[in-house]
Amino acid sequence: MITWSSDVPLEELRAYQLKCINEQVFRLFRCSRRYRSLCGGTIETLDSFSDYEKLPFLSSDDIISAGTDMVCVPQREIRRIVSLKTSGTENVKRIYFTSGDIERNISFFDEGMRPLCTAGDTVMIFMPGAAPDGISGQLSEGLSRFGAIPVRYGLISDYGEAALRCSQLKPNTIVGLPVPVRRLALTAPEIRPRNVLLSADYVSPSVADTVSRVWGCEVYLHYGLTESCYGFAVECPYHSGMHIRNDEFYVEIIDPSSGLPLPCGEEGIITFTTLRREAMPLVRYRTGDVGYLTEEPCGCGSKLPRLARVSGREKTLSRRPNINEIDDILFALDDVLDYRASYGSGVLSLELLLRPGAELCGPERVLQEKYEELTIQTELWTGEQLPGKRALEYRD
Amino acid sequence: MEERKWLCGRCGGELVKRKTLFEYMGRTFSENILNCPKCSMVLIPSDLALGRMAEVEEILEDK
Repeated sequence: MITWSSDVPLEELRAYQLKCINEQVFRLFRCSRRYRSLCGGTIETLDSFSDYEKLPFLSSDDIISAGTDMVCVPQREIRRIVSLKTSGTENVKRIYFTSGDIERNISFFDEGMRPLCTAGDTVMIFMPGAAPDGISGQLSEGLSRFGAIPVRYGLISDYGEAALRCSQLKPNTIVGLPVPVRRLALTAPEIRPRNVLLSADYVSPSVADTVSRVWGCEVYLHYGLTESCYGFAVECPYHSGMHIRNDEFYVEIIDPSSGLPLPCGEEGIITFTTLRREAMPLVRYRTGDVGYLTEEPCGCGSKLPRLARVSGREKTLSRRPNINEIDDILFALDDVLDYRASYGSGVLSLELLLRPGAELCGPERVLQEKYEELTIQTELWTGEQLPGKRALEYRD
Repeated sequence: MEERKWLCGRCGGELVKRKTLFEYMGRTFSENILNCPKCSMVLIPSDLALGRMAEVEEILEDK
C-alpha cells in the first residue's frame, strides 16, 4: 500500500500510478458524456505513460460546463460540494467529494502537520472554511488526530485582536495565507511561533523571508487547491521542495504552448490526474498554476520528484506589471503592510498601507527600477485598513 | 380561474402550501411550498430550485 510518505522506488510508484490512472480514466469515460466526447468516443487501456500523454487535458471550463456530468457516484454518496465563482463571470465551478475523498485528505493533513507540531501544541488557523468539511475544518480534524490543539480563527480582519489571541494562546504553529500572516508578524513581532505554514495563495519569497526573520521561526510551504480537496504538496523540515501526495495525484508540468510534458526543473503548467478520487476523477487537469518539479534527493532521504516552486497563476504571470512581481518588491520593505494597485495607460497607481511610524524609503524608486517604462504613483495610508483587499486592477 | 390542484405522486393526497424548513450544511431556511399532508412529500418548483435554493447552496458551499 502506497501512502503519502512512502519512499518507494520511482519505478514502483509509477507502476502504481499507471494502474490507478487506468481505473480513474475508465470510470470517468464510463460516467461522463463530456469526457467520452473529449476522448473522441473511444478509449484503450493505457500500457505506458506515453499512452497516457495522448489523453486530452481537462480545463476549468470543462468542469464548469460539465456540471454533474463528471460526477461518478450516486448523488447520495456526495458529502460535500464546493462552489467556486470564477472571477469576472457568473460561472460557477462545482467540485464534488465523497466521505472517502475527504477522509484521505484529512489523513494527509494529519501526517503532513506532524513535523510542525506535536500533541498538546496549539495551532492557530487563520484560514477560511468555517463551513463543515471546509479547509480549516479538515485541517483541525487532521491536527486533532495526533493530539494537537487547533484554534479555528478564520481570516484576520482586526490584526490587533488576532495578535491578542495569539499572545493569550501562545501557538506553537500558525497556519495562514501568506500576506496576512506577514502583516501579523510585522504587527506583533513578539508572538514568535516555532513554525508557520503558508498556503492558499502565491507565496512571494520576500513574504516567507519576512515571516521567518521577524518571528525567528521555520516557514513551511503548502500548495493545494480546491480541485485537489485542498491538500496537494507540503514541505518537510528540509525545505527542499514540496512533497507531493503521490498516492493521490500524478503530476506533470506542461509546456503551455506545445502541450507536451516538461522535464524536471523546467517551468510550466502544473497538471494532475487524481488516482483515487471517488466523486469526481480529474484526468490531466490543467490547474492554471505555473511551477516546476525537482528530482534532487531531499535531505529527508526522499528521492521522489517534488514540487520545487509555484510561481503563480498562468494568466497573472503573462501580464506586466503583475501582482506577484509587485508582491516580491513591496513585501521586501518591512514598512509596507499591504497594498492595492491599479494599472492603465502606462501608469501604475499604488495605495500603500504602512506600519505606524514608518519612514518609508523610496518604494517608487525600487518599483521604477523594475518598471522603467511606467509612471509610478503612490498614495500612503496608515491606520488599520486599506479600503478593499490587496489587488492589482487593470484599468484598460 | 381556479388554481390547479396537485396530487401527491406517492400517496395521492392533495398538496397544500405550507411553510417548509430546508436544512443544508448546518444552516436552515424556510419557504412556503406545496406539501402532502399525509406523507409529507414536497413539491419543489423549478424556479425555487434554480433560483433561491441554488443561490443559498452556492453561498454555503464555501471553501
